[in-house]
Amino acid sequence: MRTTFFGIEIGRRALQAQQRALDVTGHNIANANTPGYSRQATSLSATDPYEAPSATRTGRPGQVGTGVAEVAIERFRDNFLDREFRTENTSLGSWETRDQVLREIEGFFAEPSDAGLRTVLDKFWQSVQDLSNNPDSTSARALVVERGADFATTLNHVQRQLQGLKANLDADIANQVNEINITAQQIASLNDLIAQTTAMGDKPNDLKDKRDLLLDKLSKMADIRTVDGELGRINVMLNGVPLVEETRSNALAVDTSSGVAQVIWTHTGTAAEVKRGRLGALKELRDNDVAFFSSKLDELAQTFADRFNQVHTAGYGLDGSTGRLFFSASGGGTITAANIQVDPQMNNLDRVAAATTLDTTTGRGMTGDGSNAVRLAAVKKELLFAGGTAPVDGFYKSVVSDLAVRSQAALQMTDNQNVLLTAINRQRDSVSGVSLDEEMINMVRYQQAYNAAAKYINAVDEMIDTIVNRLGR
Amino acid sequence: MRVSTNSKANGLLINLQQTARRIEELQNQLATGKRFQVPSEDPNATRDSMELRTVGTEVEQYLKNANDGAGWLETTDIALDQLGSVFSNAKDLAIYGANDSLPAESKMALAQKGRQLIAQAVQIANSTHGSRYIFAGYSTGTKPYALNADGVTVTRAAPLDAGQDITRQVGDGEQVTINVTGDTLQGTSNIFDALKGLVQDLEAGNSSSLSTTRAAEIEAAGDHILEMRARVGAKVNRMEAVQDQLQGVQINFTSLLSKAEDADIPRALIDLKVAQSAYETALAVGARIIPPTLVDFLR
Repeated sequence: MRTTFFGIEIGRRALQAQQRALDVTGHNIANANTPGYSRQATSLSATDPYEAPSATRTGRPGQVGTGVAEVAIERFRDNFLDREFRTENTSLGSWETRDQVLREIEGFFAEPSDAGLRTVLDKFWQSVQDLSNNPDSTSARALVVERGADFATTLNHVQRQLQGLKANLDADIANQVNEINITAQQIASLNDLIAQTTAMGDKPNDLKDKRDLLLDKLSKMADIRTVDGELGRINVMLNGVPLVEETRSNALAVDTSSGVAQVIWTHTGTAAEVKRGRLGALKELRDNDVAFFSSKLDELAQTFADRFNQVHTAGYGLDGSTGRLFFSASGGGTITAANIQVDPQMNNLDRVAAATTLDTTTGRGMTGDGSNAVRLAAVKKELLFAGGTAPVDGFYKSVVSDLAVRSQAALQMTDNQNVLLTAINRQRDSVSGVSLDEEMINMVRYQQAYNAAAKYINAVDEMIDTIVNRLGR
Repeated sequence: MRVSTNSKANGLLINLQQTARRIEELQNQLATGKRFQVPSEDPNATRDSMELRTVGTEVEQYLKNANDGAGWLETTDIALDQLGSVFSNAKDLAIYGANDSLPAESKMALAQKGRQLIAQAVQIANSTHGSRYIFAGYSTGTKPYALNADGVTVTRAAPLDAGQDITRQVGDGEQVTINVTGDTLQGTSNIFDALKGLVQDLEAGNSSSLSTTRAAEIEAAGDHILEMRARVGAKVNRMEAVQDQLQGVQINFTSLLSKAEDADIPRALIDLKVAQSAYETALAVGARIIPPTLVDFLR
């Protein structure tokens, strides 16, 4: 038997459902520009019809609809695209960092320009050639010492910049570790909230959006992998070690006891393996690239200076001195790019050994003898490097080329990753993004439905009025 | 595919950024005139450019060395020319003095001329290029030859300078010896001794020795000088050839360097125009598609 107020109840349900749907539309519009927001929709469903199958049913034709109810508020999200995005985002993090840092190193080398080591080396060679032409000229000698010092200080300078960069990379690694820890903590506490909400039977849409945004951010910093857990929780693994485990997070730390910043897990004390993402790239840049270019500069400085010294010691200065080093290490030890200098003894210009012949009567190097300077100049052309296949400038050129190719690859890969991410993002946006047009249409729909439901309640009211107030008058 | 409001805006933004980046690149090219600013923009061209700049410096230096060497060789050539005429005069004296019928006073006069020739020869042997003695081996700061008080004996400041070759590098591993050492100048049978013998024979009136030994000695000395001149002349030619060749390389190198480094300006200008109009079009389209939504059309 239909109750008198059956219609009012249907109207009430309709008003409530349309209002809720309108609220969600408002929420979508409000968050149209919120990063990481996924559009939501109220899923409406008809309530259980009247009457339920039973032996006591009235026998009238059924079933009669009883109105509408909102079942859930769902968010539109594609997990596959999220995973895809994070994998590529990790790559972008690596390449972007490499691009940035390698570009900086390119700046240190300042090639091709008149300020780079190549020019300085060429000028040094020229001054030695001039000395071979004018072995009796004091100004030619002064120029050799001057240009030699330029060569040494340029090496010092580039090496110092590389070492400074290394220190900056260490600081940056510490920053990244910090940021990863904070993000992991946030994800863990969101996991907790999400699990509680899910257990209550609700959909924690906005919380999940926040967590997804954090995961996106985290994926750029390190090569993480996510594993779905119970009650909507997400576990985050960093190369097999859990970074976020349910509602708890494991912290990374920086260990500087070995002199360089090493990333370790605080809960085990063992080294944390981070191969990619910004943190991975920073480590790789420091341990491979910067170390590589730094060692190449050292090799250049040491090999060239040693050979130059070898030739120089065999010659005679104008004052008859022999066996003197032209280049030396400031502070002693082997010559490196950081410590190479023109030996202070060379401040006495007569000691620059341009001659191979000693004047036996005066005990001095012969004034017109520039033959040792010829040999010194020839050192530049000697195949001292790369297993006896390259001269000093060829070696240096190959180092710069190597840097250029690395940097170019980083730039190209960054561009590629950006294109890829843009495409993935567009797909993600196509699923999750708010379309204002769509929201407007929904708004009109829900508003009209609300109005209609209100009108319906009016109609039912009038019917009841008829029965209650006017009937039998 | 569903299009959200933001994806329209993002798409526009990405397009604008790409075009803006291209415009920036082209502006850099035009402002600097260089096709690339950092090695990574073109590793191969960087390699070429570094190589060419080094080669350029080297060529410049070799050219400087060659010019310097050519000057020295020319001074040497002039000195040897003068020395050659000293000896041809000496030869005349020997032939003339060998005449038995010549009175003693005339022979003494000839001997006097011979002494002058010796002094002249010493002066020539002390020739300098700049402030350097050219026949002194490595002792370029010391006057190599001196005439003794007897006016006929020539002595050397430094006794031996064999192998003291002064060289100029005119190419990779290419050394050209530019000096004639004192040892070479004198020859194995000292050319100054031939002059000394001539004067002594004239003063002693030793006609038979003059016509045989001295004449032959002076003849041999003349030949020796001619031979040295021929060698020096060949080197002068060689230096000239090297100079020509290096100058050619220099011109060629300038154009190669430009090819490796320089931006193609007309091309860059056209590209810039194209990029600019693409940018403006994107902006104009953006201005049309971004604002309107259904909101604008609802009451």
